[in-house]
Amino acid sequence: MSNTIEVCSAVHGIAPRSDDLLRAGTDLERGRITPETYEALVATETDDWLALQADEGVTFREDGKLTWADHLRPIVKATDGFAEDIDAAPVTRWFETNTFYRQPTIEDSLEANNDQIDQLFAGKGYVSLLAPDTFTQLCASELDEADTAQNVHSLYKQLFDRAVSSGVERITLTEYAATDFVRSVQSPPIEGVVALANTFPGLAISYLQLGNAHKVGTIPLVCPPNLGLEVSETAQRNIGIASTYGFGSSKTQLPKERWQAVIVGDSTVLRTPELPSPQTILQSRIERLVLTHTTDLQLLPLPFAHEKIKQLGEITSQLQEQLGAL
Amino acid sequence: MSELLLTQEVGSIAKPDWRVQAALGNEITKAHVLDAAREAASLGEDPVATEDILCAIRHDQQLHGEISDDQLTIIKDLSALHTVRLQERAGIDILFDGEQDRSEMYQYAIERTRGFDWRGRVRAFDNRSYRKAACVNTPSIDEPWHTSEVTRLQQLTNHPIKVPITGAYTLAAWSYNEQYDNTRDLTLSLARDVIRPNIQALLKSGVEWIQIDEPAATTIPEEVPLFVESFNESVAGLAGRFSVHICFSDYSTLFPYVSDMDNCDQFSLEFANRDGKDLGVDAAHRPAYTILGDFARYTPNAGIGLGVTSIHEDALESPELVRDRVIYAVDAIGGDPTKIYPSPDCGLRTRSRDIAFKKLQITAEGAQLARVQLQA
Repeated sequence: MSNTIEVCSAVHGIAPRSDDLLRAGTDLERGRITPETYEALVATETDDWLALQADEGVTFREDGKLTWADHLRPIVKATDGFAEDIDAAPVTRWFETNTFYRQPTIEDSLEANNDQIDQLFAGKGYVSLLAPDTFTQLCASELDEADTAQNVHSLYKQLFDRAVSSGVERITLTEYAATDFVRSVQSPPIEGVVALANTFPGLAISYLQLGNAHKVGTIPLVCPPNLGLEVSETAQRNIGIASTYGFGSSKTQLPKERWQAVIVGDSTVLRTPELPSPQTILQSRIERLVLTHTTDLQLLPLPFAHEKIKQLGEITSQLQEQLGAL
Repeated sequence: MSELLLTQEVGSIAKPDWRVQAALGNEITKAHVLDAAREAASLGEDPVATEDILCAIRHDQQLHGEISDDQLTIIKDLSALHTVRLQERAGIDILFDGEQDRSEMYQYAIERTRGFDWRGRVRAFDNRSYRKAACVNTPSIDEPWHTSEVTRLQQLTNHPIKVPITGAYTLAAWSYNEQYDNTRDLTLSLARDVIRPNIQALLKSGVEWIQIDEPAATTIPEEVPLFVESFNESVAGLAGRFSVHICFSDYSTLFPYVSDMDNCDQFSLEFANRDGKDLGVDAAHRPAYTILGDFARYTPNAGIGLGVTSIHEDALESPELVRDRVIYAVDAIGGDPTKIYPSPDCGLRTRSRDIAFKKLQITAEGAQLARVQLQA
């Protein structure tokens, strides 16, 4: 039995902004500062966020998307086919939270503007995006369900294509809505993700499912080697690390990488999550375990987000030591 | 005033900049003085008197480097007066002072509640955020905090007053819980020991109608019964008129539980944010309002505070659109127009005062068009 599993860590999503940056945003809206001044502040805070991750030894670091008003806005703005003026679109609750997003409406076939999309990915080796089915669920649409899903998946192919062209090597897809369907979808969410992984075999993709995964059940699929799967703490108790979606049986091919979501919820209680035992991890026969957080960081006060990153770093080191000792 | 389709405000209205800067200890400028005078004139108040008041305070500020507490109170009272006149001028029947003395609905209440420590800012939407606290001890209050604003308001207007206060469930949902083992204990503690004393004080001050703001009511569908329980705990046995305001939520999760709400006279709800923008009085044109049928079924005796103008955009609805929304709503709840109270979707704090006035005016004009049509 090999004990050379590579243990890594990853941060994803929109980071909370400091009080200074929030004030600057208001000043910008009211014409009290210039866009250049605001952008300089964003750049500084982005550097700070990346530096924190580096200090904690995070392997896959994301820049915090401090200019993203929500998880959809820049993509919507860069894509034809949505109703105009997303900045004036209806404000809608973000799942079971007291944060809101502006809901886009799909009116026509979606076609991304390559130049604008490239700006989202420029200079980045690793990015996170909403998973395509969550993106679909979050939009209103004037198309029928099948066309809506097809258009969003087509948009994601465009996004992935531009990401690869821009030099992105790794994408995390966060699935917030896998089991909270507002509308029925044509196929289980993971099938679309598997399709993307198969279309872009050179891209490392991590599929981070943040809903109640145990409701999804097991789906017999062949997992591409470039796709890493999340197992949340909740799901792990119900399914087990090796049997999620049917992967791990003797008849299916295992991914080389797996995620273990380790930090759940936004509580102030920074409880240490229960990791599977190192022996269990070794038995899974994966080559790489990537630890991450399930929390949507933008829902936390900035000091809490900092603590979550630090805890991620500590847990990663701890597990590395435990595996090294075997 | 006609008892049909009484219009109401719902929550906050932006404070004028001269009030904001004065409260921050910043300079009251000439532009501020002119702006206040201009607003006074537009509201039927004496612009010269307004200008004189602010000029005198500005003069003292330049002389002494600051303004006194009494002068700040004068400015705050002037702001409240203008905001009340703004609503009256717009044609609103049932009003409050636009929450001129309050900061933000969660922060303002928690700042005055013992047992909480602040943890930092959390995103609301776009660049907006709110401060989030943790309950670290049993919640309690030193004294109720709404009576002074109400006492002032009662002297400013003869219109019926409806006082909004943040509800227990929302305060609990928007806080971290480090004191109790479960959400229910925190929520009911807040209902019993924080919200209820505030309500009792308001009733004692002569307030007849209190609106409990619960935007978090449907955040966790499994907890809707807890929201209902906390509402009941807050108002049980108290002689007053009570309503609840819920916005930007999935209202379907409220049913059937809201049938168990004791003494809830009105559900004030947001609709315009998600409705169609074309004229029409059928379900296809008014998709946001179709859920009113469920309210008619589960809460047949309660009125509806009907959100007819959107508060998250400057684009102005037409009075005709408001009219059609109202007409549809009256039919949807069974045909009794005395149960429909047209209003903005929510507080107008994120809009300028000019836009807020226009939104309120359109609400009133649309209600009047509906009134005429219904009485024809």
